[in-house]
Amino acid sequence: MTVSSPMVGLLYNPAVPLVLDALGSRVDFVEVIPDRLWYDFGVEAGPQRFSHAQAAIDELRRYAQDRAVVGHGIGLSLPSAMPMDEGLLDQVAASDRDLGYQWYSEHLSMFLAPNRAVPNAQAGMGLPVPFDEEMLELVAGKVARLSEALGGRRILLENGVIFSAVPEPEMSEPAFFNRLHADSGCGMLLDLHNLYANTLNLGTSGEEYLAQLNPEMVVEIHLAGGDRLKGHYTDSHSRRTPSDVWTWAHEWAPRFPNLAAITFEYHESYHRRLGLAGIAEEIELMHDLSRQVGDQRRKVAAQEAAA
Amino acid sequence: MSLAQFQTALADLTASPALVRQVRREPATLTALYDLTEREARRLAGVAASPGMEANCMLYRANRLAPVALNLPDTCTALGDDLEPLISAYWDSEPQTDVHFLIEADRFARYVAARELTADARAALSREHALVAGKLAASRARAGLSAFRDGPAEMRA
Repeated sequence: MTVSSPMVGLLYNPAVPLVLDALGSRVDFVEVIPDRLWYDFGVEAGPQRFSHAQAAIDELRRYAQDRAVVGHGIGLSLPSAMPMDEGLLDQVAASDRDLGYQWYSEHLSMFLAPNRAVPNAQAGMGLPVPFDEEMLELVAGKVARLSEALGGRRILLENGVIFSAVPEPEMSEPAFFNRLHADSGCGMLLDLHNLYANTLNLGTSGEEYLAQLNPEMVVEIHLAGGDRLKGHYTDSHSRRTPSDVWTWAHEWAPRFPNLAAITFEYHESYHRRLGLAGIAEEIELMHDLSRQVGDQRRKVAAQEAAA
Repeated sequence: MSLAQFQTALADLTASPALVRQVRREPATLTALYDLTEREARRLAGVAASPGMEANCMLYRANRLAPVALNLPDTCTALGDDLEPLISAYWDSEPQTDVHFLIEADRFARYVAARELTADARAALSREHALVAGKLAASRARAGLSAFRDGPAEMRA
């Protein structure tokens, strides 16, 4: 267990430089979606498959200077029953060599199926996966390959938004993450807003979910806000974090001994709605949470030293 | 192979409210179309029957609309009420989404250009399609060149 406080950061998007220009000293790290740094013309394009967004990469490099960077991918779709996209993996590895991610995360959701893709629009949708032994074996193998390609980098998987859970699971979602952690060392990116959406949409208990998690595996927390859509609640990254999510964050984050980062996610199309002042308030609330976690860790460390 | 079929079926359901309705009426549709185990068929029928399937379908359409709305906004406005049937027909003819926003917008622009349009819609489409085509060409011209230091081996000059 570390006695330091978790870092506070933002999911990087084209509007985030405006925040960093104004509030840069309050943002410890940026989380980069590498898939947004290139255009993909498809496997059939051969060596011309990827076109790097040179200006976006140069800008990111400037803002990443003197700041930690973590990687957060959406394109590898680890739960898909198909071989790893090695061409895409090469690009992710190249972005890692350039930007030096502290760790790399992906999603426990399906974005690709054989001959099919689900348009995710960054904050959009992934499809649910069956929580069973077959999926566990598949994902564990992909996690190992991804970590190997990134030179042994730590890999995390994020819990997804689920509108329709796959019936007849062999284990619960927290049990799946616990097993994956035990079998492969994969950490967890706990998206508290996704969990919140699932409790609203599926009628499940967030407290029960959190209580089942192995607290050792949680390395990062995501915070965000969403919208109601025809009786459903979406993870649209369009608003500030709901108060119920903050309540969970304050109750549970101090219990995660390896929590290293707290991230606020928003989509650039909602930058004006959130406003710089609103984003600044979210950042300060994340610092309050980080301080709470750090204080708790120092208290525990002092108690252990005295014992 | 069976899990792959399960995932393909789930992706197809998400892309097609009509298939969802068909499976809700007749779950055996799934085993007729895909090579599934009994449990996979039950699981998919359960997913299709769930209220959340509507959200999956809505988000699929919203996310697929995003590259078109972002890159061809005036065309969408000029199409007005014609947009919905046009884009639905386009998705039926191009069921495979492309993650490259410019390719998706270019493909839709070509599809619309071959249809009968009002003068306003034709003008907006011509202007915006030219912009999309220009960006796409610039993107293609850069393809294969690494912007990363120590880039992928196949992109090093």
